[in-house]
Amino acid sequence: MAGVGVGALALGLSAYARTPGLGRVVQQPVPFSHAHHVGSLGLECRYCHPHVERAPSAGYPSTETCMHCHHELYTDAAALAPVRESWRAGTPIAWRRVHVLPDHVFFDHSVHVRAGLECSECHGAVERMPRITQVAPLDMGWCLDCHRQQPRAARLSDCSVCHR
Amino acid sequence: MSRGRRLPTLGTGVGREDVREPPLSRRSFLKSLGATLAAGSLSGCPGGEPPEALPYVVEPEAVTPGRPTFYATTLELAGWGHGLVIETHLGRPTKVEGNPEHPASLGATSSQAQAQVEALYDPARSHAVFAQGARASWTACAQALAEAGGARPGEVRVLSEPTTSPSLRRELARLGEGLGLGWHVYDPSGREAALAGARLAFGRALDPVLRLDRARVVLTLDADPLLGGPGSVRYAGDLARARRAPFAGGPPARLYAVESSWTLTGAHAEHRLALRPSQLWAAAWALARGVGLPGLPERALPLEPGARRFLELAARDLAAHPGASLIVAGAHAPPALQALVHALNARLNNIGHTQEWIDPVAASPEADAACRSLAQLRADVEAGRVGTLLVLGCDPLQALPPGEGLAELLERVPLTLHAGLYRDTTARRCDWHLPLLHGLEGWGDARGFEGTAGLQQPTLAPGLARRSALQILRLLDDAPPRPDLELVRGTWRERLADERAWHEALERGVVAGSAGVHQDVTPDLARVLGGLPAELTQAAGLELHVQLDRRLHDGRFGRSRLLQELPDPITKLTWGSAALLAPEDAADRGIEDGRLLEVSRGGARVELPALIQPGHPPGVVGVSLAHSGPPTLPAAETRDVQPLRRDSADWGGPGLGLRVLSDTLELARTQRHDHDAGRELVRSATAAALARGRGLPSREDPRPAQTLLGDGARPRARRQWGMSVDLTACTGCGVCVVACQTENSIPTVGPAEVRAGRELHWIRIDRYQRQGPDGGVQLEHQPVPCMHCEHAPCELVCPTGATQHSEDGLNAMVYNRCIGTRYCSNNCPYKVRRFNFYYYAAATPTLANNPDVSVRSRGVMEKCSYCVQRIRVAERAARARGQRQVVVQTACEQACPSRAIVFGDVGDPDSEVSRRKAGPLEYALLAELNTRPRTTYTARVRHPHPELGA
Repeated sequence: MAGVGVGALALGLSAYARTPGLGRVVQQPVPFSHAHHVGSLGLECRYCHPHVERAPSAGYPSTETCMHCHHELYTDAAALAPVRESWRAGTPIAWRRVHVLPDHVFFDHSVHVRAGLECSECHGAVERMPRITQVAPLDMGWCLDCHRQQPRAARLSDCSVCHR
Repeated sequence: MSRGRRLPTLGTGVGREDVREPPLSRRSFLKSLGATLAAGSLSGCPGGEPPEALPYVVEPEAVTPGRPTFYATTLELAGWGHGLVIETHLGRPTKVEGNPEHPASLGATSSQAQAQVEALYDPARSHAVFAQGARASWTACAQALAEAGGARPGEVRVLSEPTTSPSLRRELARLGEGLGLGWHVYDPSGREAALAGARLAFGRALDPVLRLDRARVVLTLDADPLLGGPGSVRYAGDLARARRAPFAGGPPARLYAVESSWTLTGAHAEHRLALRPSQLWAAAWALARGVGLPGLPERALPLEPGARRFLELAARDLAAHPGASLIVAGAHAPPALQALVHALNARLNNIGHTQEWIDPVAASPEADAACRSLAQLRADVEAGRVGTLLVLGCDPLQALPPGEGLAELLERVPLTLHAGLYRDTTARRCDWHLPLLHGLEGWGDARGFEGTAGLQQPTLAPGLARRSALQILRLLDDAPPRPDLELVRGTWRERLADERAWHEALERGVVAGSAGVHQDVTPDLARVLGGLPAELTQAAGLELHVQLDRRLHDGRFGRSRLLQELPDPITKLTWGSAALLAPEDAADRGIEDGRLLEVSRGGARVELPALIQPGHPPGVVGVSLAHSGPPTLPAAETRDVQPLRRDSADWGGPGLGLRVLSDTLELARTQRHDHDAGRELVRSATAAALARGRGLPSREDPRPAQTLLGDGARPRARRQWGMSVDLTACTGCGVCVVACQTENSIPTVGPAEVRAGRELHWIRIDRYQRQGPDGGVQLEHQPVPCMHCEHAPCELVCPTGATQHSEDGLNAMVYNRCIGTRYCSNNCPYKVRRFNFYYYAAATPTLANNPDVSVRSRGVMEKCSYCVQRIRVAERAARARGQRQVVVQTACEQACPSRAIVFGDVGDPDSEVSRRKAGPLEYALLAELNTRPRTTYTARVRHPHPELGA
């Protein structure tokens, strides 16, 4: 019985070590809520992540993007002080990454978006997340599973597609 | 190698240049292991705090994160403009490519240009103002200048190397008018002799522009047009076009080389004659006689019968091709000899055809009334007429022999300033040192070897306290501050008047229509003949021959680890320099490779390791100006040969002493054998045999194809990648090696690791020696990247599946699966796999790394990937545009000046690589092993003179 317990713990630990970010809540300088911006206001993903269709990285919104609205709205909200400070001083906001891939993985957002994949398939229902968390394991098995199940997806049989 | 290879053990024999971690005992290893485990379990988060993401405050329009942005620019390297395209990621340059629009580049680059990103990020670069060795400020410097500057006009001087920058010259001219500033120029590469030679022949200084693509017969006289000169990148491409199959316009160009040490051109030539430096005049004389120069006085020529016959036949060959032949003399040969060669070219009707003459491009005392010479500066300092001296962007104390007396001269000037990229030797002897911007950081302009002007635009925002040369000049007269952009635009106000013209010039990287115009000149034969020496004597005893280094130029690129580790194309020596000796001389004196020699001349003594080089002329000791290294390089690895030269016009001659010392220094060479053991690795054919319909001698049928891999069982993608290397075009210059390193973030390993055979180059250039038909030694170069075998022996033996075959024919490495057994390398017949013995990448500034490539860790095998990152990007781009065809250039292919490398889809019969592979000269390396390499070679075609050595 104890052996089973240790085994389960080891298994759990190894799964956790493989996908360290799964379900993790990351402290951000600004408590940005996707639930509010996407869910309530209905902002389009590409408004803040403009490169998702043409670059490997979806891109983070520049301070200017925030200020498009927030130079009019909630101009003295305490939570937005780092945004105003960034805009005033010209220094970037130091966000923390939520979805982190290892350095030897070269993922390309644009290919997936152009293939018609919805953002939510990997990032979950962000419109219901006040604090964004990683909902998919983002490990290699997960990538391959999806590519095997989708009839239209590339077969990903070449390592060098993602690793180089 | 006469001695067994020493295998260094961990922690012993470690030079500071080595990238090794401190020796680790078993006990400390276990301790640190325990600590790591504890830390891991305590933090509870294997990844630690998630990494930061710093978006822009205001995103620039031109930048897409994750996609590169390219800027055309022109960098001044050793004074000459090189047209380049810089790849930047998020505002930082990562890669240099050639600018296809620039006539000096046509898309290719030199090794030195490739190393510029490394130079930009060099942590050893100077970053602050220094006064008397202590940190100071620009304000303090301006104050010091203001206090000194109140004196008489004309007391302020600038000392620089020749420059082709119109803006810099304009600023200097402004100071000349306002301040009476005197501008003195010295040329460490010896080009002043070339201008003097042109003046002697034509009555005025002119720059030659060679048209090697029009030449059928070329003879070089101690010259190396294919490497190291301002036009070499273009010339290598032009010559390759005149020499490669299918020879639409008649037989390929024939190349003769007469020289006193190996040059790359000599290694590439059909026929090569190795002579002593003192015999060079006789060789020119024999040519003049053979060509039939009227009025040539009779002289007894100190030449052996074989050499005499060589020159006679060569001269006859040249004379048989009027208007399509060319004789090229070395730029630092005596002016009278160069003038004689100009007269010969005129006699052969080559001027205006294979050789054009344009007004001098670079500022030089020989060519320009605005410049004065170093001798004049010396005289003015003696006379006390110099109050302030600014040494601008150069290191004359290193670049000139001590006999020029620069050190004493600097002592006698009341206020000396040095502006440069580094706190170099000159900086430490001057009162002030001012840190200079790199060409990738600021605005500027420069002209190429044939006159085309190009704009230099910044590719990243300048940091720290550095300033441009233009700004530093404006300190001298306390001129109101104006941004560099405004100064450069001012220079081009007339030529690029409106905004559109300016932006077009910026985008293209060249100013349209600015190339030099050929001047129809004829040499004054009487003056040329009047300059000839009265008698021709061959010196007795040993002679010295000094060359510009093929990688480090006059030593100025010595701080580049990339260039230091690039093997010399002839000797395969990396890191440092050696004394080249003929095998005969070495045998006479009992010298072996690496034995230290004391070379003495004119009272100076220099210790150099011996390097025995077949084909080097007997009686000559060859050295190159590779005298500096990065600050971390142990002093024992660098050798300064400058003391052997009398002055900057001294490139060798008699009066050399040689003493054999007892010590040896193991040479850091990447290839220690000279022969291919009869395996015919470099195959060649003669043009005559080809013309008779006889191609390559037919290869024996490979044994019945046996393989452990099932044939045709693998799925195949639509595109199949492959490469072909044309050995007729390849000169072995090594640009591909550096381009591959910068593209794939391949670290350097240092001299001690090279000695252990651990260099990491993904593409190497093998060079073999063979006996030529004329009895001389011939060198053959062969670039060897990964062959991407269809039956790859490496894939079968990997226990972890870390090397895999892709459906489009790539042999891919998966670094994260690699556990470092090195079985793959053992099983690779081409030895193209490299192993990371230490964490070498730690020595590379991370900013210079390509973000599209993994940084490899210690214990991982790596090798050529056919630039898979470029393939994948190109494939996705083609798909996004809905195109079927995917055009990819590998880094080596793109940089190659002679276009020897072609990469593409071998599944598409219309691609260039397929057409090459279908040719009769194509062969695979070690085809008998049935590995089916995707990289194949086009056999070398030589066009020897039928009578020479027949």
